Amino acid sequence: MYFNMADPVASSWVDDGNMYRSTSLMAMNSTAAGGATMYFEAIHNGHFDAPDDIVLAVDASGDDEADRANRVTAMDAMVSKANTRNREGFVVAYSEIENVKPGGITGITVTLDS
Amino acid sequence: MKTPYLYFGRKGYYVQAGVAPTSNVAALTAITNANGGMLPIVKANTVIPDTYGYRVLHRAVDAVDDKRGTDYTTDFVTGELFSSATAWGADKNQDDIQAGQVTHLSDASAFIVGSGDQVITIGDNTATGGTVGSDATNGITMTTNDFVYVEEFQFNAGVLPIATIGADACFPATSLIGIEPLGYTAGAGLHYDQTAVDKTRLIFKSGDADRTVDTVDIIHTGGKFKEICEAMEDLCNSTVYDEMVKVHYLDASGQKLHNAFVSRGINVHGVILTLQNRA
Repeated sequence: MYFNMADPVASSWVDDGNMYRSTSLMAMNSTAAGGATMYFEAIHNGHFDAPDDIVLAVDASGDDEADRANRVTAMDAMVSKANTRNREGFVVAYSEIENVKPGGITGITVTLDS
Repeated sequence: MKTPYLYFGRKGYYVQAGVAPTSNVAALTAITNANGGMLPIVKANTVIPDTYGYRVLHRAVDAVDDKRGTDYTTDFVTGELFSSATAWGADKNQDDIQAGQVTHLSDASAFIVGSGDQVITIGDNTATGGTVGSDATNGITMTTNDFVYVEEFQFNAGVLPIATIGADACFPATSLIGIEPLGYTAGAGLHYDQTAVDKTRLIFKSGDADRTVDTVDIIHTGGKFKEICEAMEDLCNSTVYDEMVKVHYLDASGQKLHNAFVSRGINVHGVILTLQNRA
């Protein structure tokens, strides 16, 4: 699963582009109004004491029920991406560059375990 | 490898023994995510409880006269009038409590919840009312043999968490490590409708990536551990890959429970999520 969270022209690429095997996706859950978080095994640093996090931002301008439904829709979209098999290349889960924004996700924030 | 992803939303369910009033009020033990799977927000005695998406019920074990507010006229489970001599086999008034009766404390002044402490304080049915402000119409005077049930029935900001850690969780089916039967003894092991209750723990490899586990405790119809294992086996071997398999959650209209459970006669009273070390 490939993630890009910002236009590289305006960024350093540090933390902006990430790729994980879908089997490294360990869990997801709501973490805020307008936010759900994906937890990946932190493969980059080779130890296992905390995950890499990707926060999925969704619209939270509606009522609580609309917010809940938006978070669920975002997680649904990531499940679909995690189960997609693309033998021609990787699966773009979310990309600002290519404007791939499934499930109503408006942005992502990547935090790597250190 | 494709795998189904299982989604769980929490549902609060808390049961404890009745508390004899002191200074006309009876304070329950503080409800936590650990003991009840919910955190009710502050509630004044001007707020109708149901508007916060949960209900407080009193199940009588002792028969005592003149101890229930007169606003409460019918049994929550059976719908029978409390004043029905036919139903209860005695010449009783509606404020007389009889063993087995379930009273829904639905009045605004029936109880309050403290700010930030999740303590439900129930007022008795005397005119003095105490700090709750209850009276002979909306209070109830419990005995220590009775039971109080606090049950969430709707996704509602009146009960937290709704959007933060512990509100919901999604795991790949491949992370399911095991299923463990647990006893449930609160309320003498009975739901307010007096059906048996058990608890089962689903254990998943933690999303935290440390060598720990996340757990989903399901409080459910008694004697259904094997059926829950069958339901989970069904769900884990499903071929739903394009969205999460919604096992259980609450939304604004109420409880949603997957048919793998419903079809096996499993009612879910509560779901408690314990997610380790999320940052």
